Amino acid sequence: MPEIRKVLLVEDEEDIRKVAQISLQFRGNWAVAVAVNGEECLAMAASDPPDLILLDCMMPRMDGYEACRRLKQDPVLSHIPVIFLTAKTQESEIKKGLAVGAVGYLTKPFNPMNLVEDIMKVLEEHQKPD
Amino acid sequence: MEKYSAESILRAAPLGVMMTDLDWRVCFASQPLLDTLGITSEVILGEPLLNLPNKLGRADQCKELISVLTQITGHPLSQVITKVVPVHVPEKKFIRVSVSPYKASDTASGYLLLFGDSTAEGEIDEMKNEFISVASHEMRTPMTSIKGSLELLLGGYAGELPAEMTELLGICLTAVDRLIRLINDMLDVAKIESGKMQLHMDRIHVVDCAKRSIRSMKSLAEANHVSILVDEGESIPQVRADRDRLEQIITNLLANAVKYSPAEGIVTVRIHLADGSVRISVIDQGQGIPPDQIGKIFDRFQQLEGAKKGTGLGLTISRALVEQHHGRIWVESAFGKGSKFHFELPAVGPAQG
Repeated sequence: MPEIRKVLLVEDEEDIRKVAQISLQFRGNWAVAVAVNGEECLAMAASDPPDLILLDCMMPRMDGYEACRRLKQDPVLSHIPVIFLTAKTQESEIKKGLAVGAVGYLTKPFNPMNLVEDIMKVLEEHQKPD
Repeated sequence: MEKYSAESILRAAPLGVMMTDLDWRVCFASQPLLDTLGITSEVILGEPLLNLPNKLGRADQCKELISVLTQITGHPLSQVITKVVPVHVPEKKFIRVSVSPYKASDTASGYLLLFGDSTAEGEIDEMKNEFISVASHEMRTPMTSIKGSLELLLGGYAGELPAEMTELLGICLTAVDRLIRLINDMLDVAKIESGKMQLHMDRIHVVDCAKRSIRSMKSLAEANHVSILVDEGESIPQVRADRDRLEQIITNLLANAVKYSPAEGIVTVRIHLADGSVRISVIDQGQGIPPDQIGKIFDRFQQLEGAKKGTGLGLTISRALVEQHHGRIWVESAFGKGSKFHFELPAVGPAQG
């Protein structure tokens, strides 16, 4: 499994972004870069590729699904695992995220004390041979 | 005075009138109602109400109405049921359907269905549900930030906290969790009332579902020193249901039972077959429901005196979900001797192939 040192966190809500950022730094000792929409996400991922992208679904300008689709079409960036962070637990939303190439999803409200642990579980689950 | 006979008046009444016998076979339908449904009386007289969808020329315009009628005619009726449902004829209108048992003489009895225009009321209801949906969504984001910040502080992000601060932050966290539950419940009610709650139907073993609900109640039961037992009948058939929603119904009933149980009390979840339906009963040894409150226990925000930190919406949601599954829910309670909440879902046969 790839080691995580640097995460790109994409979330349009400032307060939630701040809580998630602290959580990833505090619990994971990860370096965290932040973007506020899909467009910024693509630009930042290209200029300084992270080890993982944590992506909100609904954002202005470009939503998470579109950003993920474009990342997966880019030969340089397509290997970066993407995890969706979403308020929606509806099956259709989950399928939509997986269909555009995400390795998994986590739901809001998340517990910032467990976020890093939950991310590692999603990555482990994805690594399993079947 | 022949021209003022009851039947001629009924026939011309501006609101729809329909009468059925006790087996829900149509005996009478007024002209305006037939016009709205787009059928003639010859087609419908003597037919069971449940055959109505096959007879309708405009079935897709009245699908909500048909679904309400299907729910109501699923079992015998002992009290008046009133619902407001949308129809599209072709512009959107709302009609109020009221169904009551009647007994005209010693021999003849059946059901009386009244249909009236209720468009103004329906539109206001729709606006209200829309408002609640939007407001609840908007409240979720700040709630998420507050909850997350509290969890970080209590988790030691700002270093070790004085005991007093830990206690107060703990109170904040409990309160925020309660607000989040309330917001989620309000969203559920709005979704159900506006017909936007979509069920993902599957063949379900009720016993498995009940056991998952019991597991999710474990910490609440332990905190209240209450034990939960399962009393399952032999070879319980499956039901067609939405797994998450069925679990939600059982969890709601269990949460109430546990909260109102005395210390060292026992809550029993009984699952057995009753007349082709699977009946799930949640039985507690609590104080029971006072007779004057039992009639409104399923209404919104109706909580018993001394209610313990619920949202007041659990039973409203449970009833709506059970009805959407074409089942029924009811309560038996002797004041001072505990309550029994029952609900039934139609059983399905063993899977084919």
